[in-house]
Amino acid sequence: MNPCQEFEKRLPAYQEGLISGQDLKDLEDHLRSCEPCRLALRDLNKTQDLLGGLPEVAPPPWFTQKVMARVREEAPGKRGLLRKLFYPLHIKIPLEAMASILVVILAVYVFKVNEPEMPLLRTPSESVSPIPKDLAHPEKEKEIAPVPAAPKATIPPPSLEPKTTPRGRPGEEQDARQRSGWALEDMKTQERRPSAGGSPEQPAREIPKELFANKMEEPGPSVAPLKKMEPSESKPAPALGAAMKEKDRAHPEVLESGEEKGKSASARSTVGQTADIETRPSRLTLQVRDVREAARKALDLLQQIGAKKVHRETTPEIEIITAAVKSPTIPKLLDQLKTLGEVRGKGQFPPTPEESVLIRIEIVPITP
Amino acid sequence: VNRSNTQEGTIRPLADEDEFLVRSAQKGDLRAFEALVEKYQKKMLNLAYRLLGDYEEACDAVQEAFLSAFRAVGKFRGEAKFSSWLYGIVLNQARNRLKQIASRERRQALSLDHPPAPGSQRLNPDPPSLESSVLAQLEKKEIEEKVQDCIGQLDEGYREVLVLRDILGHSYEEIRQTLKLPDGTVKSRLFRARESVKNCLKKGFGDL
Repeated sequence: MNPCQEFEKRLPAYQEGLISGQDLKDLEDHLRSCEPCRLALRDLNKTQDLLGGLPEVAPPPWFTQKVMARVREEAPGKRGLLRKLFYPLHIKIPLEAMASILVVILAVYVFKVNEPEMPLLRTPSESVSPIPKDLAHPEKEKEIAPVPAAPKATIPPPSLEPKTTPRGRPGEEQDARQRSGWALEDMKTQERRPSAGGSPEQPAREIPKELFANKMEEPGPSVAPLKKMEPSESKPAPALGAAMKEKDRAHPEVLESGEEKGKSASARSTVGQTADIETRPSRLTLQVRDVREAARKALDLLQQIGAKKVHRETTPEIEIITAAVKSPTIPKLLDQLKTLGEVRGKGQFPPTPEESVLIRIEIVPITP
Repeated sequence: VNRSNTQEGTIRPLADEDEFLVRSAQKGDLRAFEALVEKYQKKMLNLAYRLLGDYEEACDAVQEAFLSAFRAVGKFRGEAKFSSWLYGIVLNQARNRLKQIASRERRQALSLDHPPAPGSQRLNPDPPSLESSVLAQLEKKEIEEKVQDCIGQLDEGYREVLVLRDILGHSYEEIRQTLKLPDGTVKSRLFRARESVKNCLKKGFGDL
């Protein structure tokens, strides 16, 4: 191998100062004695000079602006990343829809939670039972009137609220019953009979079954102007709990008084507890000399005031008339009945805003 | 060597400045990115021009390179210098354009209806002149064109090392970072590239 070729290969490294020691000495000795190798090194240096001497090219005018114009075209895309996330067709509309659904759910929830308390917020005039003051006993009137004054007893436990107010709420009637029931239950807790109340854990249905048995034996139709309530009322939710039981227990207390309490323990049966309460007539006893004549006049009277579902039952000694009369006409009815004889009312009408109230008039002869 | 040392001596403050500008650009500051473009456009253009041998192509490549840099600036973590990272992007752009140019020239060469226009090829295939005094007679511009032609004859890998080292004056460390090549490979490629260019110029000029 030509020794010059060997040294020429080392010339670029020699140029860079990367050869040292004996290799460097040998190369430099060779360069001193070898003209072609010196020319090769000279050409190499000349080449590097030519390369290094190449002029720099300048960017064209407005090159930076052109580049930045392209960059800015891209920049909105970058900034628009968040916008893309909220692009109407992608996210925004679903977000709005979700928000709307959430609001609806929240509204329903809030309504359900607060619904049982709504009646309590009403004015006292609304919550008072429609019993005419002159018909009710004075002492009872005191008890019934201040319904709003007993809010603690009337507010059911929060856990029961969603269950006590499911769909298909009957409306004002139920509200009124609940109001009166809660209020009266609170006031009459001490009068509660063991047979009606039982233990708090005892199912509410057991009470009316027992009560209703003897009631059906009593004369008189079980006219039910509020019968439309029976389906919902006859199937109380099992999970309603103690508050519901308490409420249901309260109604017999309202409707019964005196010796009726004893009877009522067996006064209810198959129809259902609440319906039974509502259809039980309020009793009036009319003492007259002529029972038949008084009955006939009473029927005329009931007809005049627009009573419905009038039913007359005749026994050898007494006449029993049941009728559904409108609450506003009750005072007039009582006044008229007083003209026929001595009226003794049991004093309790169902504390309901229902227009029709079931009245049972027992026309009995005057006993010496 | 001296030139690269001089450049290395100014690296730290430049790097600090670059770091600030890059961080700002990563946060969406376009003015910061514009400052980086302003600062590096000439160096990038010279690299692209020496690799491509065509000014217009080089301008387009650098423009695309800056655009790519802007898109990817968020991913820049500062493991290497920003300039090395940017040079790497320009190199990739240049490589892609070289492939496109080669493909285009192949198609034109094969087309009988549209033969390549005279002088459109980067390299002059004319045989070298044998006159010894030609170098002195050539205009400076012609010399530069000849050197550029010789650079263009190098293989891509050799050309990149030669341009970065002998034309742009980068240090071996910078070249290693930019090309992601070991030191020995960089040097061996450089030496072979210089030898090839020398031989090319000798063929062109007869004597240097």
